[in-house]
Amino acid sequence: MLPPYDRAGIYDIHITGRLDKSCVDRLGGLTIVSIEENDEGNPPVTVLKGCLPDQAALLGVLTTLYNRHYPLLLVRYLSPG
Amino acid sequence: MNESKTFNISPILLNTKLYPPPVTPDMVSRIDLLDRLQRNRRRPLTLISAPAGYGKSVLASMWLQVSGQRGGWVSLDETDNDLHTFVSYLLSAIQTAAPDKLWRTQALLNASALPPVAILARYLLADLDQIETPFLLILDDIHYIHEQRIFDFLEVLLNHPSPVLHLVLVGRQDPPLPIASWRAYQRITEIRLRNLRFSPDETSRFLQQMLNRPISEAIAAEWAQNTEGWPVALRLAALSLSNRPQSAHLGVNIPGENQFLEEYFLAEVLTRIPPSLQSYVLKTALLDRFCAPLCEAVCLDDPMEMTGDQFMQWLQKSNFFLINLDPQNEWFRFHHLFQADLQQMLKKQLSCQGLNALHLRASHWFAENGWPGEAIRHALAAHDTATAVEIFALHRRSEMNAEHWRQLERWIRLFPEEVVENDPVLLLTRAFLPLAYGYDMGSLVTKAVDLLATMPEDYPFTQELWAEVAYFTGLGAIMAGQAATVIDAGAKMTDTLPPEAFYLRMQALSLQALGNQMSGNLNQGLQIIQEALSAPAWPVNARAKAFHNQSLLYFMEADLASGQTLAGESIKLALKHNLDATEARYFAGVACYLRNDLTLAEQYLLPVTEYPAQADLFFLVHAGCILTRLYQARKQPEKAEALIQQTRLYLEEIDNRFLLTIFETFQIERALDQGDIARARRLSLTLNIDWRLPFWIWHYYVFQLTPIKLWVTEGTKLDQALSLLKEIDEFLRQMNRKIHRIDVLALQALAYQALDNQPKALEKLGQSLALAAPGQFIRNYIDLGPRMRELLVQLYHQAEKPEGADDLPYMAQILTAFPIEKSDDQKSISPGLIQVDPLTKRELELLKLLATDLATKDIAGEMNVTWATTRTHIKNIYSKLDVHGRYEAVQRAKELGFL
Repeated sequence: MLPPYDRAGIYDIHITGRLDKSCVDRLGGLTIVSIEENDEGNPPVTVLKGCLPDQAALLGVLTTLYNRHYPLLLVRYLSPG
Repeated sequence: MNESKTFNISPILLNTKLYPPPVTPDMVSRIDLLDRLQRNRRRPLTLISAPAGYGKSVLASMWLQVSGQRGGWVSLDETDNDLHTFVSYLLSAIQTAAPDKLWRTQALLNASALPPVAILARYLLADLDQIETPFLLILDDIHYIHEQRIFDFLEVLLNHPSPVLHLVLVGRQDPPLPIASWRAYQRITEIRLRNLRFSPDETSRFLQQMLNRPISEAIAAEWAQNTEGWPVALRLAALSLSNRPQSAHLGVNIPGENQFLEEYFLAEVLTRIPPSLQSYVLKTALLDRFCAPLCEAVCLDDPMEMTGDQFMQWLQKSNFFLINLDPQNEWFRFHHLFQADLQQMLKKQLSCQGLNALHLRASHWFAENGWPGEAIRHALAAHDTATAVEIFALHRRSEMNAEHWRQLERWIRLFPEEVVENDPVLLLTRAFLPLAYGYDMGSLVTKAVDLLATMPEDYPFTQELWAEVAYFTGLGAIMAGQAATVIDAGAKMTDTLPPEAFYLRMQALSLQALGNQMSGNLNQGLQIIQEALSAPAWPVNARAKAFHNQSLLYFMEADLASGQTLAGESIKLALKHNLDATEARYFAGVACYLRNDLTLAEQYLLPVTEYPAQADLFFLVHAGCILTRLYQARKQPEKAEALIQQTRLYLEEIDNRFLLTIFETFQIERALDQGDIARARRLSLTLNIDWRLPFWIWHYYVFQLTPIKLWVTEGTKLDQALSLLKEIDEFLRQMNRKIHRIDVLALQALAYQALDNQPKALEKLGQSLALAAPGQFIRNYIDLGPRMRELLVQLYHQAEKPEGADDLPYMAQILTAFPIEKSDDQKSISPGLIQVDPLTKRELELLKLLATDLATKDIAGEMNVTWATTRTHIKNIYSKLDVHGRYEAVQRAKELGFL
């Protein structure tokens, strides 16, 4: 399924690290669905999910995560929003 | 010389960034979108978020034009990722919509350190409250901004929306703001890609305008589909077809899979223009903004028969993605998407060397035409650090003269850090930046000195940089009390600095003057400054500083009246020329307070604390200390408490631990002022402060004396206190710092009193008063409490002998100002708050006779004056003591300790 460039879609984003509250508020409405703790002192993986109005919003979310130094593991388009 | 022209107060902003792109008749009106924007204009925010080339800025500009509302515009770019620059542009844009407002926020920006974002936003919101008519504020290209603090600032602004401000953010992606929650509360209007696409109908109208011929529905639909309704692609495609005959088929080709749509069309367009023009277009794409002469300078070796003006005319005529940046039609830029594509093409065509050469030409042009920031950027883009440093070195002088520290800091930040670390000009300039910038002045100067020593003989800046090093040597010598070194440093600077180095030359004069005052030659010190000022070339801020520096000399000399007068002159000049008057207000306030003119002291000091963010933080803390005491003296403890809380909160918010510690140390004194020794002791246990720090010259509150005051009050460690005080007094005497010696000697007197050594106590107090009398110091003695009063009364009676009689009126004046604790059934008055003229020597003699049973007639005889003169004296005494009869006068004199 091709993600629509200009339409709303549900996205799933995995990042390394634990997000702070102020950051979550600025992620276009995505919410944390799980935090998978890692062994051996490695940082946890945070899974975010939610509906974004288009890919300008997606890009905004990714830039915010990047600027805040959260390494990106996965970005997935799940379904139309 | 025109002062207002040569001295620019506001930071240098590019006006071209404040000009909304004009709406031209060939643009397709987006009626539906404009309707939607207009309908939702009461929401505080509009977000226009879509990729490049969808007409976002055009839409915002159209809205500004059709809405009938006033508005401001800022075109942001990469260099605006600094809260100060960003807010400066924001204010300038708001001022275009609402001139003459917002001075409070503007004042914050003029201060050396920015307050926390929340405070900055609160100031702006308060200023916006003063504006009545709603307006639009459009921030274009917000995607260039990544500085977190800027978004924190915008978030506070939008979480407490002003009823008059409608903010429009325009960018290629969503900004990091809580968009989703604002959406949920309907606080935001969003215009996105799907809204901005051209419909077949809009495509048709657009093509008709561009190609000047009728367009069939089928063609419009085909174009809309093939370009995905992307306006920039449509424009390029139309441009590539514009030279075709009217009858030619208007089918649109679409590029292959591996090519970007706009690149494909752009290549098509470029192939249709003459090669020399092509080269001109590509080369100017290197520039973020351009005008005809700049284009000419950059493309100078092009074998083109065209002038810069003709090129610009051609660009405008051919509708070449040009965006106009000013109403005079002088400055333009290419559409960003288009510029990026052109730059890619240029890179493919030219070698690195070729590109560097273009950047250098641009750099020279900008430098010669007064845009050093852009000149430095282009020189650095050409990898020519030497030229970039040279441009900086040549232009920094005028910025230093105008005390534009932020501008200088911004320029230094353009350089890679390893360049700064290895360049004496950049290092020394950084050392001048106020303490608030957080650099370690000492290590910067040391590094610069090491580098300077290794510079080749022909290094052009050697002389002036050594002069600057001398300034820092002079500063160190002030703190160490080495007057001769201070004078030498100042003289060395004066001898070597070029005449136009106004700021540094004024600093040099201050060093010489201060060195002279330190050596006991106040008049010579003052004369040095006055003589220099007779030259007419000094800019107004240097003149204000000169007044201020002279007042500083008087303060050191404990001449409060002269210090206050000069501080007043400095304030007048500062207000007239819109300069910062904080320092001068502070000094005038200290003088008034110490002379017990509390009303005037409050008037001077309140503005310093009311706008904490605009004051130098040292002045904020010390003005706070004085005002706290002032309110306490006026029996307004709630005001004192509120001020303490406000100052504490502010220092905590900006996380200035050092000043916070000093302010908390002052709370020990406050506890002592209130007679709460246990609390003072408790507070002193929690403090961690380096008591060996130098005595700063301009500080009212000398925190180093606080533990000594505590010991003296408690009656503990008195020997240690005395030995420390002796050491400090010796040091201050060496520096001729009378203003602080007055307090140190008075404390010595209290320490001897606590040791029951009355003669020594009175001797020290006498020495303190001798220094304090010419300046009429009062309040500092009152603040030392009832024990000081006891000592003063004793000294007063000792001085009643003929040889000491001249000192009586001054002592009486201090005693009159002491507050008297009255029993509950009496009216509570505090003479300390009443501004009284001092009792004269004659009146004090008469007061003694009033306490006897002599009749007025006999008193006149005793004093060898007429009856009428005696009556006048008596009337004056009553008025000065605020009493109505002889009995009351005698009672009051007893209370005050005269009798």
